[in-house]
Amino acid sequence: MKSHLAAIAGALLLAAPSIAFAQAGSKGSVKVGVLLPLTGNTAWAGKTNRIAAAIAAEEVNAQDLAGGYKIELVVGDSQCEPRAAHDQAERLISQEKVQLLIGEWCSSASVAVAQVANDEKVPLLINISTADQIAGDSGPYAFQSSMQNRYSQEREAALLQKDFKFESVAIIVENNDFGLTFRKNMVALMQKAGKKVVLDVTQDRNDTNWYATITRIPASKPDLVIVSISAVQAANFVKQYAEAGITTPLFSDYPPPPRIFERQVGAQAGKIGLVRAAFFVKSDTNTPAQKEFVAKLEGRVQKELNEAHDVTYWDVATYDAVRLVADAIKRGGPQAAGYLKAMAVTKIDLVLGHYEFDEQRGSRPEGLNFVFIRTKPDGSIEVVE
Amino acid sequence: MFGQILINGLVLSGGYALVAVGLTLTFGVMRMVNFAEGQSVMIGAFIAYTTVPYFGYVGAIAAAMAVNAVLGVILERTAFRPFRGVELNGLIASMGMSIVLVNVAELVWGTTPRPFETIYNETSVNFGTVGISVQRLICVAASAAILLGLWWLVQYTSLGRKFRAVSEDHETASAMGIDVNQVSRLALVIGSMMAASAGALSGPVNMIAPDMGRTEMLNAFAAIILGGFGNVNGTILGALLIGMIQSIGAVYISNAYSSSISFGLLVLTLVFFPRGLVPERVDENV
Amino acid sequence: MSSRILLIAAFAVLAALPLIFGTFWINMVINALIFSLAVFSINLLTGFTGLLSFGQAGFVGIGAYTLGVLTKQGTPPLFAGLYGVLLAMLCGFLLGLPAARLKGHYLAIGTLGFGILIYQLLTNSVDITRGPMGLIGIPTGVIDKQTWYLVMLAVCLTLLAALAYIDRYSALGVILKMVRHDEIAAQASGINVFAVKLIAFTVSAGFAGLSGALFAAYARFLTPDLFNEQESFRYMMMAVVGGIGSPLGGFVASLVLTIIPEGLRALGEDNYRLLVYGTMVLFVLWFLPAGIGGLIERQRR
Repeated sequence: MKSHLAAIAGALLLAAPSIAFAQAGSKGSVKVGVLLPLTGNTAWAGKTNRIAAAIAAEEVNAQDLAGGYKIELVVGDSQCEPRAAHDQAERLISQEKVQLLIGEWCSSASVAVAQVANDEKVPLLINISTADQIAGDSGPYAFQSSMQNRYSQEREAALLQKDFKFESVAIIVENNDFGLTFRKNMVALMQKAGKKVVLDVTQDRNDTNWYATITRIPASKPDLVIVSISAVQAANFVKQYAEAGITTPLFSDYPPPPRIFERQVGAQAGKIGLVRAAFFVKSDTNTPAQKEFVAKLEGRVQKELNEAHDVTYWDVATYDAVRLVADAIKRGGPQAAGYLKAMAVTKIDLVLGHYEFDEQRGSRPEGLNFVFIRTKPDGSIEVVE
Repeated sequence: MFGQILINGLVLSGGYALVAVGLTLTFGVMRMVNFAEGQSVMIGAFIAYTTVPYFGYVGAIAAAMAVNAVLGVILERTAFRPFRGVELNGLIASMGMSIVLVNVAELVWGTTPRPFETIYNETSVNFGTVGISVQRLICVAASAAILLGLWWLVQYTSLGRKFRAVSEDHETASAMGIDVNQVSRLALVIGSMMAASAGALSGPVNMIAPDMGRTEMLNAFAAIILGGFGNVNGTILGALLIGMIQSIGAVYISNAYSSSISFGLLVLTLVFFPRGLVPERVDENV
Repeated sequence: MSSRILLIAAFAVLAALPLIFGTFWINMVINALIFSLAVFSINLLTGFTGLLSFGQAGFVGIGAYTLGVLTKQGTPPLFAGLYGVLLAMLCGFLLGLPAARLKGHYLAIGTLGFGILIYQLLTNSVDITRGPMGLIGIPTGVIDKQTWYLVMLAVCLTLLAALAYIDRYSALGVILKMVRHDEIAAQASGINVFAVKLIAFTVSAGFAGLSGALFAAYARFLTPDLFNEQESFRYMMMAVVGGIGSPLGGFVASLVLTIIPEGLRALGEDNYRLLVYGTMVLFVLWFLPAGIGGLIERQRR
C-alpha cells in the first residue's frame, strides 16, 4: 500500500512542473471578436490586419500571456460601414458569444460598435479609429488604444513649427470626420502660434477634382500648405499638386500608408518633397520589437496572401490591441467588471510604444510612436523626426 | 485664373459628356436609364490600365472600347431588351448589373486604388501660376474629337437616322423595316464604348478603383436633364454647362457642396422647365 | 377570406420567431421591417400613383435626423418622432410642388437630385447634425429587441392593412390608380390631378420619414452616409423585386433582400456574396416581372 502511495506521490511530484506548464489554456478560452473591413474599399487594409491579429493571438496562446486563458479570435467583416459594423457586432455577441471586442477601422463604424458594446455590456477596444472621444462619449465599456486626432494634431503643429519656417499657412481638408476635426484644431493651433491662415478650403470627399482648389493656392501665397485628405483622395491630391507645379512645401496629416502610397504616387510625392505624419513606418530606426514584428507579419502575409506587403500602422495597432486585451485578461480576468478595471490601469510596452489610458478611456499619447516622414525624389522614405 | 477655370471646366465637361451621351443614346432608343453606366466607365478604365503594357496607350483605349462593346451587347440582352414596356424594371435590372460589375471588378483587380500612369502625366504645361498635365489636355482634345465623331454619326449617317427614328417612335420605325433590336444593341454598344473612352482618358488623371464611376454618372444625369433626354447635341451642351459651372463654383463658392451645385441646378431647372431645357420631340400620347 | 386568415397566421408565426432565433437574426429582421416602411412609401408613390422617386432616402434621413437631434436636446422621443414625420411630410409637399409637373424620367432624375441635396445638407450642416462625425447615443432608452420586434411588426401590419384598404376599398385608391393609368382621362373626369400627386408625395414622404425616425430610435446612431443615393436605389430595388404595386410583396422583399445577403455570408466574407445578391435581383426581374407580389397574387387565384 505504502509503496503504491509513494509511487503515486512520486509520479505527482514529477508531473508537477508539467502541470504548471500546462496552465496555458487551463482556465478555458475567451472568445474575442475582431471587427475589420474585409470587403469594400478598405479591404486591402483589413486583410493584413486580420493576419496581424492572428499572429498576436498565437503568441498569446503559446507564451501564456493571458493568465491561463486561451484567446480565440472570431472575425467579423464590418466593411468600414456603420450599419454593417452594427450588425456584425450584434452577430459576434449574440451568435458567436464573444466576451470581448476589438475594432473598428472607420470612425463612423466604431461609433456604431461602441453603441452596441455599451448596450450589450461587452467591453470594446477601439484599436484604429482615431476620432476624438469615441470611448469617452459612448460609455464605460469602450476603450480607445489608438492616438486620438487632437493629440496627433497637437504634435503635428509642434513639429511643423520646429521643422518648417512659415508665417502663413493654407489649410485644405476633405469633409469627413478627419478633415473637419483637423481643420478645426489646426486653425486654432495656428492662430495660437501667431501664424496667419490665408486659405481655408473644405472639399466634398467624393469630389476627386482637386484642380480648382489647387488653383487657389498660388493666388493666396502661403508659406506652407497643410492638408488632411485620406487614402485615395490624398493620392489624387498629391498627383495633381505635382502636376500643377506648385513649389510650396506640403504637409499631409492623415497618413496614407507608407509604401502603398509611394507605390501609387511615389514619383509625384518625391518631386514635391511631401512630408507627412505617420504612426509607424518601417525603417532602420525601428525598435527591435518593431523589427521583429515587421519580419513576422510580412513573412506571414507573403505565405497566406501571396503578396509582398509593407507593414502598416494598422497592422501594428491590431497586433497591439490583441496583446492589450490579453494583458487585461491576465490581470483582471475575462469578465467585464474585472477586465475593465484592469484595462484602465494598463501599463505595458508593445510594438507601437508604451500604452496607458486616461480617465476618459483614451490612450495617453506620450508613449506612442509618432513620426514625420518625407518622400524623397526617388520614391523612398526618410524619417525626418 | 480664368484660363485654369476654363481648362478645368473643359476636362470635367469632357468626361461628363462622354458618359452622358451614352446614357442619352440608350435612353432615346430604349426609353430606359442605364444605371450601370458608371461601371462601364470603370471597366473601360481598368481594361485600358491592364492593356497599356501590351498595346501602348492608344491601343489600350481601343482595347477598352472593344471590351466595352461586348459589355454593351451583354447589357442590352440582360438588362434592357427583356424589359421593353416595363421600363422601371429595366432600370432596376441595370442597377443589379451594376452591383454585379462592381463585384466582378473587385474580384479581378482588388479594391486597392491604382495609379494609371501614362507618359503624358509627367509633363505639364504652364498656364499662369498653375501647371496642367498634358494628360488633362489630351482628355479635352480627345473627348472633343470623339464627341464630334458621334455628332457626325447621328446627324449624317444612316445609322444615325435609324437612331433618331427609333427614338421618335419605335413602332413606326419597326413597321418601316428598321431592326429595332439591332439599333438598340448598337446604341448600347456605342454608349458603352463612349464610357470606355471616358474611363481610359480620365483614368490617368486620378487613381482608378472598382468603386469609381458613380459621380461621373450622377453628373451625367444632370447633363441629360439640361440637354434633353435622347438629344445628343443638347446633352453635350448640358455637360459643358455643368462642367463649367462646377469649375467656377469650386473656386468662388464652395467645394464642400460641389455635387449640390450640379444637382441644385438640375432641380432648379426642372422647377422652371418641367420638360427640361430642350423638350423631347416625342409627344405625349394624347 | 382564407387568404386573410393565412396572412394573420403568417404574422402570428412571425411574431413568435423571437422565441426561436437569437438576437442577431432579430436585429436583422427589425432592420428589414424598418426598410419595409420606406418600401411602402414607394409602393404608394410609384405603385399606386405612378410617380417615380429616387430620392426617398432623403425623407428617411429627415425623419431620422429630426428625431436624433431633437431627442439629444431633450425632446421626448415620441414627439421628436412625430416632428420628424411631419417635417418629412412638409418636405414631401415642397418637393411635390414642382415634381408633380414632371414626367417619367425627368421625375426620376429630379427626385434623385433632391435626395442628393438632402444628403449633402445633412453632411455639411455639421453644427446641427455633426455631419460625418455622426450622431451617437440617441437617448431613446435601451428597449430590448423582442419588444422592438413586436412594435415593428405591429407598425408594418397596420400600414399594410392601411395600404390594402386604400388599394382595394377606398375611393382614394381608385383615384390614385386612375392618375397612374391615364392622367388626361383622370383630369377630364374632374379629378384634380395636381392635388392628388401632392397628396401622394406628402403621404409617402411621411412613411419614409417614419422609417427614418424608427431607425434612429432603434439603432441610436446616425451618419449621413446612411441616407445617400445608394440607399434610395436599395429601396427601389426592394420595391421592384417585391412588385411595385404590392405592399405585401414589398414587405416580403424587404425581408428576403435583407436576410439573404446575411445568410450568404457562408460563401465567405467576399465579393461572391454581393455578386449573388445582384444576380438574384436580376433573376427575379427576368422571371417574375410582377415581382414577389405578383407571385402572391397568382397563388391567391
